[in-house]
Parts: sequence; C-alpha cells; structure tokens
Amino acid sequence: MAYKFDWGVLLVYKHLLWQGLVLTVQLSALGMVLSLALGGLIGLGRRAEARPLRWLCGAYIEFFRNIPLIVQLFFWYFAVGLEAFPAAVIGLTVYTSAYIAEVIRSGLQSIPRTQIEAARSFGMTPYQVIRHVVLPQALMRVIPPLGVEFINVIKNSSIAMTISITELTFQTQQIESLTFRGFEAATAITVLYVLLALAIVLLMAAIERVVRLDLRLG
Amino acid sequence: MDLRVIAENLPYMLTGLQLTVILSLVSMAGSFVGGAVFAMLRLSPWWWLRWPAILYIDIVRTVPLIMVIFWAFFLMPVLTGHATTPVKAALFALILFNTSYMAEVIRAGIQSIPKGQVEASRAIGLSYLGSMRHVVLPQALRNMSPALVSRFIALFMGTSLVYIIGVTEFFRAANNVNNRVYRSYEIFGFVAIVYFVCCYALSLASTALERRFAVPDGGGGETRAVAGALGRLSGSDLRRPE
Repeated sequence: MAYKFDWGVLLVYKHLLWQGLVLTVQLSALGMVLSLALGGLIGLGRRAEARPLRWLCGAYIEFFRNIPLIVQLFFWYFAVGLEAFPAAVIGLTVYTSAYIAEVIRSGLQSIPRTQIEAARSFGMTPYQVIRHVVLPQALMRVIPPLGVEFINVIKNSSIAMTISITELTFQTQQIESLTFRGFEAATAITVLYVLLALAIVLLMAAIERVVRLDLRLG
Repeated sequence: MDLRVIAENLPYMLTGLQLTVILSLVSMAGSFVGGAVFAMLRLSPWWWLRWPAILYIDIVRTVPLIMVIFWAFFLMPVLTGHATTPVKAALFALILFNTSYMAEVIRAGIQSIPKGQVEASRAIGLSYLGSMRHVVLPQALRNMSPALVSRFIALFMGTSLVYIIGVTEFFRAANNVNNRVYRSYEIFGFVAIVYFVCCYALSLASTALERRFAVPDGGGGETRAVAGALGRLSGSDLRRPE
C-alpha cells in the first residue's frame, strides 16, 4: 500500500466535522422525538376498536416503510417543494414512525388479553388498566427495540445529504473533494457514527434502569 | 399531472430497474456467503475468531450505508492500486454492509436448532459437517426464510443509495429523467409506487413464510419461540437498509 496517511487534514477541517456533527445530532434528535410521538399514536391506532382506524394505521405503516427513504426525501424536497431541512425532518419522521408504530403495536400485543380482562373484572377502570397493567409491561418490552430504531434514525439522517443538508456524511465528501483525503475523513466520521450509536445504547440502558426502578417503587 | 412523461421514458427507467434487481440479487448471494462465514466465526469456540467477527458485525451495523458506499469508493482504489467502476464499488459496499446483517440472521437460524439435535446426530455417528449438512442447516434455513426475505427487501431499497456514486439503477435513472423534463410529482410518485409494489409483494411473501413455518410439525413451544424471535428481528432490526 503506497498510500501515505495525513491525519492533519482532520484538524484543519475540524469546523466542517463539527458543523456536520451538529446537524446530524439536530436532525436525529428531532426525528426521534417526532417519530416516537407519531409512531406511538399510529401503533395505538393499530390496536383501536374501530376497524377503519385500524386499517388506516396499517396502510400508513405498510406504505411508508416499503418506499426507500431517499425516494421519500426527494418527493418532499423536489415534488412538494419544501425547504431542505423541513423536508429532511418530515421525511425522516414519516419513515421512522412507520417502524416505531410496529414496535409499539407488538409491545402492546405482547400483553395477553386475559390480563386486561382479569384487571377489568377486579373493577379497574379502562384508564387504570392501561396505567397499571398494560403500560408498565409494554414499556419494558418496547425500550430495547426503540433503541434500535433510534440508532437507525441517526444512520438514516445521512441520506439527507442528498437533498443538500450538510450533515456528517456530506462532510466526508466535502473534505474528500477539498483535500483528496477521503480515507482519513471517512475514518473520522465512521468513528463519530459509532460513538453516536454507543451514546444511544447507553441512554436506552439508563432509561431502562430508571423505568425498572420506578415500576418497583410504584 | 402528465403521465406521458412516464410512458415516454419507461424503457429507460426499466433498464435502471433491471440493474436494481441485478444489484440486489448479486449482493444478496454475496452477503449470504459472507454472512454464513461470519455467523460461523461468531459461533466459534475460539475467541480470536469470535471477537473480530463480533467487532465487524456490530460496527458495520452502526454505520450508515452511504458511509459504507463512500468507504468502498475511497478504499478500493487504495487497496487494489487502480480505479474501480462505480458498479463494482456499489456491489462491494452492498455486500460488505449486508454481510453484517446476514451474519446475525444466519446465527439466529443456527441457534434456533436445539443443541440436543446436534449432539444426537453426532452420537449416531454423523461427522460435524454431516450433522450441519443434514440436521442443522435444512431446519435453520426454513426458520430463517422470513428474515431472509426481509433482508432482501431492505437490500432492494438500499440499492437506491448507490445513486450517489453514479450507478444508473432505477432511482438514478428516474432522477436523470426528472433532471431533463422536470416533472417531480409524476416521476417521484411513479418511483415510489414501483418500489412500494415490489417491496410490499415481497413482505407479503415474508409474512406467508412466517405463518407457514411458525409451528413446524412436532416443533412445539421452543420452535415457536424461535420463530417469534426471528419475526421480531425481521420486523424491526433486520429490515433496515441505511
């Protein structure tokens, strides 16, 4: 291998790396919060009494997770004509919420109907059943797969570079075209992505611990 | 709405779709082989085989596919000493990326077969490879099949990202048409529908396989639990391309 490494370029262009990191974190954080809210509602809708609502939520999930995210982003950006950042946030949210809805639905489904019936026959109100029987158990089951989805949000936010968002992956290309040091740039940015994923793993572990403690007390 | 642009450019876009299918099939085959190797390395009793495999599988799965595509594009010339074609780099990246997911699918499949079966087949005189070939793999493949279809869907959608290194697959072909005629609604709407029809049909096949193999004859609770675990993997984690 005749290639000579020059890690100095990373220091010279650290402002680009920083800018990319900030955008990736902003985009991912917004995507996570919004798609958790939307996905949670749609996941609940999948378990609703009304059949049309169930069907509608199912159709939403199947539709948005079977179209590549890049196609969806291009649709929001070029066809609908949104600004780049809102298009990226909306595209990422709609796409991820379909997956999160499935996580929520399977979490709710994992609680046997008999438990709900038993709780009802004790005289608990529907609200109490949800609050004290369904939610605590579902929450514990939903946390690990949610962590996976959150890591996917970070990974998927890279696709926003195709609609001119200057996030981390975009900066790889930027530094490579400025310096021809694609190798060094790609290494640094790969490490940043691994660290971000690690942060999510640690965050979810902390949340799981808090929830578990909370359940034991309550 | 002007659907004529679609009709007029259909042959060109279908050539792109053809490349999308070829890229998906070739990289699926490649990553199946790669995944099988890494699954076996990961299940190896020796730590010096196991650890590198775990490291590879877990790191690649936290990196976006676009980054892996860049890696392939920047790395291959350095390793091989001469420039590569975009299609080769795309295949290399897709296989590199998907191998890590396939390794986990195949590992789950192999682990879904109770250890007792291997011990029993060894006890009646089958060799290690014989017990793999005649006892473990046929059943493991059957248990894995829904997850394999899900991986294929993810791969099929993932091929749209190689557009950034200039491979004229379906998405790039459609994008080229749009750059010329500037009919974003029609073109990207059409692209979305084509991807949806292909992927949804495949996902129906995956569900059908799951239902068919959920309770194999004489499998009992254990196999059902495994099918559930594989279903979970195929449902969220293993589905995603990016």
